[in-house]
Amino acid sequence: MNFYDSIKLHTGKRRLYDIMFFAFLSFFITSLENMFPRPVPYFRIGFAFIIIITILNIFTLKELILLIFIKNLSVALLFAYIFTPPFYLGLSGGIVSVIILKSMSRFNKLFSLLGLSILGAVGNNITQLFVSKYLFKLHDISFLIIPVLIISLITGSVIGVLALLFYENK
Amino acid sequence: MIKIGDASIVTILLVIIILFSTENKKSETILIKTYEKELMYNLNENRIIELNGILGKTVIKIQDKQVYFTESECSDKLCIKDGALKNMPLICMPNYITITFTTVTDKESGVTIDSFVR
Repeated sequence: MNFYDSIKLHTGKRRLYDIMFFAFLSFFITSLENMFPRPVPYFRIGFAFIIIITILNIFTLKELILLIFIKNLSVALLFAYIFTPPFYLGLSGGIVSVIILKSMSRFNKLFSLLGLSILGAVGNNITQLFVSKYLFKLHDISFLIIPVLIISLITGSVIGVLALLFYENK
Repeated sequence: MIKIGDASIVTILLVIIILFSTENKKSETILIKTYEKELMYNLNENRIIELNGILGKTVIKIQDKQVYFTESECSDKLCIKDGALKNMPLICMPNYITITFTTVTDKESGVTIDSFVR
């Protein structure tokens, strides 16, 4: 039996431990990524979403949101930016993209992981853009939409290709 | 495996990006915002504008219907490296100065005012 399929059968406390395990994995990847200098400020590929994309079918939406919450909270604690604007940005983007990913993963005949991850990246970045409009009181954000779409196309396809390689070699 | 949905998402995104990035927003008047005031200028007259930002003095130059930063007190000088104003606004984040095109003109008087403060 596949590693991912066997997790589906877990119940009760074991399910909570599974959430913790995957939250830790994505937390570890994000913190590794945060330690490297960034070419563009605020720009990150978000390799943790490789993990989240591969476990979409295992967990329910609530469990996935809990996972994102644990992951973002622990990364923010480690890098000491908890309850500052970047924390709210990351949390809102993560939750919206998980909702999009989970609802779109139902149409698995239409989309593969590549399309899913591009949709998630677009949702994540557009949400962050709109939240930052209210957090930083920006007047006009329309000029940022095109660069954000280009960036999410790039990051989404990187994550999608990696997730495809990772998932299909299992 | 890559499926039909993936290809359609990528093409839709690419079409949106191409459509919106070729849109031309140029106009004759520009709007300069600082932390204390907003200024409007006409691009047809060459001039040198000196403004106070949060960090210090900033010099903006209008020449040959182009506007660009020439001096700034900020550390990165990204605003100067950006060059002339095109579709994207010129923004100097550390000094809180932005330059954008604007379509608002002084219609009531019909007189072209070279600059005014709001």
